[in-house]
Amino acid sequence: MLDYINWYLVELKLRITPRIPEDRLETILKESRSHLVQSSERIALEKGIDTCHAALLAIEDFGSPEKVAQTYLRESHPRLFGTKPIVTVIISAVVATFCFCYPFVTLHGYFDVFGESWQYLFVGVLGIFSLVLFAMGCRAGYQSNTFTLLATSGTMVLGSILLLSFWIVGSNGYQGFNRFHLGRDVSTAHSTLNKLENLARYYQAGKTAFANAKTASDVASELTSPKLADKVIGLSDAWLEERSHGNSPSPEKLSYIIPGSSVSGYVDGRVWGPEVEVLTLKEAQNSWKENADRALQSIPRAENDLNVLLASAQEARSGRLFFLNRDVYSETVASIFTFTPALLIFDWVLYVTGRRRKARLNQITA
Amino acid sequence: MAFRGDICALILGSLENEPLHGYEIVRRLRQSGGVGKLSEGQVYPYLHRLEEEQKVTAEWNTETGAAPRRVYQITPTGRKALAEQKAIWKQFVSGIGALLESRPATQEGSDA
Repeated sequence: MLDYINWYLVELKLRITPRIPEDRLETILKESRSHLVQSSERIALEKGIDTCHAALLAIEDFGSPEKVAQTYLRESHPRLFGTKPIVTVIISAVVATFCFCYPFVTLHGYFDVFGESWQYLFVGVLGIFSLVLFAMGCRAGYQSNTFTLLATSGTMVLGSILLLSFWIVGSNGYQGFNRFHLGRDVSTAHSTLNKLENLARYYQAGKTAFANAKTASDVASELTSPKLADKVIGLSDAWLEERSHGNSPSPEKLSYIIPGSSVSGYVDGRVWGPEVEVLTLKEAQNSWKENADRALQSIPRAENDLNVLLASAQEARSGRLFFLNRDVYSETVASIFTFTPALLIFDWVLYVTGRRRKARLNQITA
Repeated sequence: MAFRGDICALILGSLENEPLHGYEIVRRLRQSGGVGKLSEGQVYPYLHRLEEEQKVTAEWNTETGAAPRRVYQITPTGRKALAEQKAIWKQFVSGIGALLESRPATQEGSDA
């Protein structure tokens, strides 16, 4: 009987030795031995079996050395950086998830104010550092963090939906107003609307001018000069002028402003549509004939998009807190859902390998 | 009934009237069904934790002639913690009881 019990106690000792002080370890082993002896004797008496068989049943009731050791370690107040390891696990999981979702959470693509390469590098390094901390927290806690991670993930999903729905005022799928810069964005959106009106007038004039032109000199200078076109349309950032540097006019071909096939207006003041190309008069006339009407038709749509956003801004100013829009939060939520299983698998692997590695190391050192 | 708080409360409850050694505590907990999925060996870490928190004291008893046994005794801090747990439990039971008793009455009322 004692052989089985001694074997069990050695197995238990191997699994808790390095983490539990020597005097406490002695108490644990002595007490476990006492329990197993008493339990074996009682089982042998109750079931009328030999003590060896009874010892095996007593050991079975006592639990596997792995399980018992885990419970001892977990209940021995493990600490990491002065706090419970679970705190490190939660914080590092949140930061790692944030790093993984960085382009979406920081609204890159909405306002284009983040996303510089050095920021991506910083976020990448921070993400790896968080995963290292996560691994340390998992190892130190002696427990599986499945439920904690699921709860954290759920909270992050809910939090990101609320945060992004609060942060982005209105949205048409690719742009929205920033609640914290509402005045600025409304002002630039109005400026974009003015530019779109100017562009509509410019296209109307251009369409007539090119239809009636017999020679290049019949075309007004604002339809050939990017600088003048910028001024007439109101593209104050010299949009067309900057794009005309690579073009080299020749005696046969001149620089012409031609309409793109569609027009887009953005809340940050940009207007996309007109282009500069070096063409013959005939080519320029064909281009205007083909694209002018389509471009003119797309201007009201662009204006409508901005007006919807301006109406949302008005609602925000009247006190509306959340603008729940799937376009805004879906990518963030999807990336959290994608990253959570990865964290769960990482946690599980650390939990399982941590237990086995510790037992193996102990066997080597014993 | 296998949450950490419940296990600790059950251990304190078993020690309320008399000091007991570990094996006897575990046996009583198993009889009450209070250990849930925990094995016998997994109860001891909670006993040690209660000892660290000074809710119980433990001493080796070698006077019986049998193998030495570690005997646990509840402390005043432990009694206070147990009283708090009992109050929480009573509140929980009365809340659930009120809920369960009110449902048939409502149903009868609606039937009438």
